[in-house]
Amino acid sequence: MARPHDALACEEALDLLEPYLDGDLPAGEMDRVRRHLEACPACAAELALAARIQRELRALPQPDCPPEVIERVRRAGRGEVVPFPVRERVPRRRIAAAAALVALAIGGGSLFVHIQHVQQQQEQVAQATREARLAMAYFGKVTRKAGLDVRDEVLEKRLVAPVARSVSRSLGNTDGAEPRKEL
Amino acid sequence: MLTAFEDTAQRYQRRVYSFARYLLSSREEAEDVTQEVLLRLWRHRQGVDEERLGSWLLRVTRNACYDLLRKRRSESAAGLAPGFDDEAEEVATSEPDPRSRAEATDFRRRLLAALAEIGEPYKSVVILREVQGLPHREIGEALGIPEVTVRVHLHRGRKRLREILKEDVPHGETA
Amino acid sequence: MSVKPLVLTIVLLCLAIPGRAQKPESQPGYVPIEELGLFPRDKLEVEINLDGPVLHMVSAMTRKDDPGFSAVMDGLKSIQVQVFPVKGTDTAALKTRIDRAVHWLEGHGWKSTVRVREQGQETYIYLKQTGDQIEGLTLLSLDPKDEAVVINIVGRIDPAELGRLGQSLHVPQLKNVPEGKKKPE
Repeated sequence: MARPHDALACEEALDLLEPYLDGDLPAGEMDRVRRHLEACPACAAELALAARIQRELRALPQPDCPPEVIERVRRAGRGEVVPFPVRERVPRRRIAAAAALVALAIGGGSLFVHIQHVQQQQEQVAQATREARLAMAYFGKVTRKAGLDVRDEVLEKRLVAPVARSVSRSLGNTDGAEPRKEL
Repeated sequence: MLTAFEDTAQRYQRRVYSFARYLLSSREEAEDVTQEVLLRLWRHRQGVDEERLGSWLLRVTRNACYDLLRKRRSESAAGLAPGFDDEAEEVATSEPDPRSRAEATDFRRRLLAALAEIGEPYKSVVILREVQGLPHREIGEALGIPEVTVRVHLHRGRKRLREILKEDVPHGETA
Repeated sequence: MSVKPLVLTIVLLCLAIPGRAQKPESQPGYVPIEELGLFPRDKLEVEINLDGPVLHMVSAMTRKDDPGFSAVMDGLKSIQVQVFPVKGTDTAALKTRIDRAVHWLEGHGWKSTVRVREQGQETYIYLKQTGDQIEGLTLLSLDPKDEAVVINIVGRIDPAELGRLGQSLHVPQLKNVPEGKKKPE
């Protein structure tokens, strides 16, 4: 049977499910969507999913901020200097300091290890690892864009060879030796 | 004056914290952002219009969250951060049988992962409207967009969630 | 993990650290990119500052799972990166600052090895050598349709290895992250 001229295709209906749920469509559109859903089990199942998503979102908890955060704000408001808790924002230099603190504790004759410092240190190193990878990724991104792409010989020619040649010249070699792989 | 500020901080702390919590998917970072936002409120308390306080706080919270996200750009933006486990587990207790509880917990976990994945401008609108229940007008003020745009972003954001979740949920088992 | 091996690991790391604790600023391959003032710091999209002790720990942590990456990190004494989103900014002023940075490099003994100018994009790579050893690499790039990037890497550098590592990694995308802070009303 041919579709009535004003009937919706599934693709259109799926686009309108959320405003339909919210009652945000003009009356005529609401009717068209409703008629389509009555005739199309697949789209009706999508509507059920859309409704479930909305229900679940509305049921998500809104947690209170831990009281110690408010306390820190209160103390700051009274003029006390209240630092943020030591977390990822610890400057990189502090990693060495934290490790040194541990070494002192051990060297002092005690085998007491401040596990919390160690855990913070591990998190900070993990964060540093991610940042180092990102730095390398940006190097790759820029060199790719500049046409210094994955073909090693391009990078070799553009970076390694000129350096090797200049090294060779400075060592007094004039026979145009092959570029060294290691520098 | 501090008492009045403390009242204000107490009144808005949940809104700020839970917004940051869902934007960042990290409890610790949400705590830091909340502290920073409330401190900023204290510093600017003379200059903030009382009537617009709620939307001001949301705008500052969102900006602070995205400043933090830019700094932690190296981390994967997709996938569920461990900090959401307790919210996912909460649903379990209201379901009648173990299988339903497991399915409900799993659905919520996937929903939170999908929420972490959808980008702006939809994510903020979905959180503020569906999780926090704020009116469209207030969301528009907070985000600096017209109310009609809030509705469009809301619908598109939820549609995006549906598309992500549809890939996992078996046909027909959605209600 | 029991306490003893953990303690030993920490002690070994502490012993290793002092040898690497030379200030990066004193290294010949170091460029004070903050002082060059290329980009406004509060508008940076990415800012990375990693020094020797941290990079040594990164190398140790990744040795088992990613030996190629670990080997590159092992020789490094510092990594600095700044990424500045260019859209909507005055690229002429930016080009001037990049030119100034290039002059600074050349005035401080850096050798140009790459200069690419194509379709408005500019990329410069400079190397700092001591004898036959490359001790520093600096990359400056400007894509007027995207971003400007400065990278300074100090340490024992093999540019080919660096290039291969870089090509194997990708910058993750953040979708439509809103722009920076707005002043409170």
